[in-house]
Amino acid sequence: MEEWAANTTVGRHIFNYNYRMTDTTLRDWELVNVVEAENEPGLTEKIYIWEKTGSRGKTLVRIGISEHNDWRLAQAQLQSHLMHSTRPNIPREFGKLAEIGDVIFACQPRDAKVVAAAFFTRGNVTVTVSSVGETVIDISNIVSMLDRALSETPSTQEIKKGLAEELAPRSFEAMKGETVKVIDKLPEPVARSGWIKIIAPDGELRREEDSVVYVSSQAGEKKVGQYWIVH
Amino acid sequence: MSGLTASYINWKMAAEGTTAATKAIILDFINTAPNAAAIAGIEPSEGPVVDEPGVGYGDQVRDYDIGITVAQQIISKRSSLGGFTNLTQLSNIKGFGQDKFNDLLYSFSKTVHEISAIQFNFNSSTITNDALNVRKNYSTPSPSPSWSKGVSHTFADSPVAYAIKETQGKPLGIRVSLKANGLSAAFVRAIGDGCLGSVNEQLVTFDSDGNSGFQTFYLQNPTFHANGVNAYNISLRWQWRYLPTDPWREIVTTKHRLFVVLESPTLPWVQTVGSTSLPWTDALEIACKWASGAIDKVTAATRITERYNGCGRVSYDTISGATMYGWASYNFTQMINRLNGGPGLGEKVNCTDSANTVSTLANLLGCDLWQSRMEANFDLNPVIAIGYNVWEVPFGSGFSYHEVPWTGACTEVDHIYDGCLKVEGDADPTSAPHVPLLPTNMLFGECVTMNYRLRLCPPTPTGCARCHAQPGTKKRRPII
Repeated sequence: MEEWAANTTVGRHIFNYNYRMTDTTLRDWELVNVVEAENEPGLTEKIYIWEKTGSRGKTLVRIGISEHNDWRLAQAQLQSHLMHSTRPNIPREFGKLAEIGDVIFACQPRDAKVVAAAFFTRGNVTVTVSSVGETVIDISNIVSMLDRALSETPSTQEIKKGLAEELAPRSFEAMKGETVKVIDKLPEPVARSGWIKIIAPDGELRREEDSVVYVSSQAGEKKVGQYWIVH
Repeated sequence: MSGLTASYINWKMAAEGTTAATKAIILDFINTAPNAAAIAGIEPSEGPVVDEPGVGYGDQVRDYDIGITVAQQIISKRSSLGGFTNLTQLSNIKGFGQDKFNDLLYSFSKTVHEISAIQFNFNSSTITNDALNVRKNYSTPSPSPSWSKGVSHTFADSPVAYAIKETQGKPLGIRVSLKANGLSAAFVRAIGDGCLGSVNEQLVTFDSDGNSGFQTFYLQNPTFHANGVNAYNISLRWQWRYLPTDPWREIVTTKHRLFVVLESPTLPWVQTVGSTSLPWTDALEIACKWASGAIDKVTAATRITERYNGCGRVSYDTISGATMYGWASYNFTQMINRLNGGPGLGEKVNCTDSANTVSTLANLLGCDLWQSRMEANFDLNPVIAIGYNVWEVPFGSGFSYHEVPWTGACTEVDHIYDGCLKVEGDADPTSAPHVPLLPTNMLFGECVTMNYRLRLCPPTPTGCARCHAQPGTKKRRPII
């Protein structure tokens, strides 16, 4: 895990809060089950089961999303997922999904050159995507879509279309190592309204109780982008 | 038009001094009867409407009460009205004449007319003389009392569970609440149609409002102890009479869903009132069906293992071997959904999911299994993974760990049940031909004698020698 941490750059300064999938998130798929389970005290994982339209239950994808207070805890959860998988030495992904997430592990079935399971973190979020139906499918596109949703700054077009809203950014002077509160109080999670994405230029973002704080890695003027992403 | 007139009906009730309570009981009776047979009764028994012996046509002491044909006419009129609101609406029904109306008034002016509620589990702290504390599933409690008038309609609406070991040879009580009209006491019993037996005759007293409160009855000659694990639909046909010499008259037939387990369920199941880990009747439906007829714990656990392995609803995650249904707590709710035909959390499972399912279902019946691991990074012989029918070495090499239901201290000298895979059953598990063997009650063993460990792993330094029981990992995961 220390190696993962050493190679984590972008994820340190991305923070997502209340990310949710809705029944229109995946085109040509039907959301057939949504489960929120508190797998460990204080840790809720949202599990989405998607069925490919017309597949009659044979093509299923399981997507698990868990949010943590910071990127290190997300990576710890990733390690838990790997430790509860019986396949020895699940490989780090160095192929076409290598740029996905802060750290990503991916598996292919023995008889096909497709990615059928992936485990990754992006910032404070741990994501698992698995083909869990009778028909094994390539989940690469879904993995890429999820990582973009969690990591990319909304485009001007998305903002114009009302798919995202830029909240008042926090701009301030910060000393190196200084901790600044960028959100005083996170709103209560609401099922369908949207989620908050925070992207800082550097340093680290983490949650402290109901606040989100930024720890600057260098002195200077900082602008921390905050976005409300509509589902 | 045949039948009575409304004015006759009013006159007759005034002449008889029919009370408002009696009128209400009669209205409730004809409005809630599910069909004509419920009004006409079961021949040759009398009731629920009986003939007033001193009045009527012919020279018989007891002539006809309401038969099936007239009962159907009443039902038809009820349908056309959307329900009776007044007894005068019984006018102009073909075949329903003065005698039958007279019998109706007679039958309900002095009667035990209602079973209000039945408690099979009335002592939440014991299970030796009454039923187990249960709930429907994680989010829904069971009805309390177990059966209630107007609420419990189907067998499934009234679940009851007993443990064979704890109740064997013990008197089994139930508590029943009844209502009467015009009576201060009556004898009550119930005829059972199955292995719960009947309910013994008891003298029941009623207060001035006609309520009995909960009174204790005893099951007579239950036979479920001899049949092992099972689930039954049981009917109890409740009857009453005023004098010991009177014929029995019908009250109502109640329906119940009976679950029979071997012993008090073990963890994660508890008997703590209010706990979400009380035995789930949704899970009892599966466990009692899969282990049907088992009379001991080994047989019960074996059948659960076999039925899980062959259920056709799950298959091994041959891509990553990931735990899909939870490892800190076990999402049994979603596994039940999957087993019952729903999506659950997908078709794919691994050994942890399988160990959780088999042990949780088996322990519901009174077995005493743990979920425990063997580790680490060991080679495997060819096996048949759940949901497949080919011999393969998983992931081309082996497992980082494996988890199974395990007995006792979960060591080499204890036994395992593995619903996740079949091992080679002949003398040489390392090579073809292969004989499939589902490991049930199999000694884990060492690396010298052919037991589970040597069937699972080759006898090599990277095979069996690395596959060690890890009793420190044994647990019974909480269920959600």
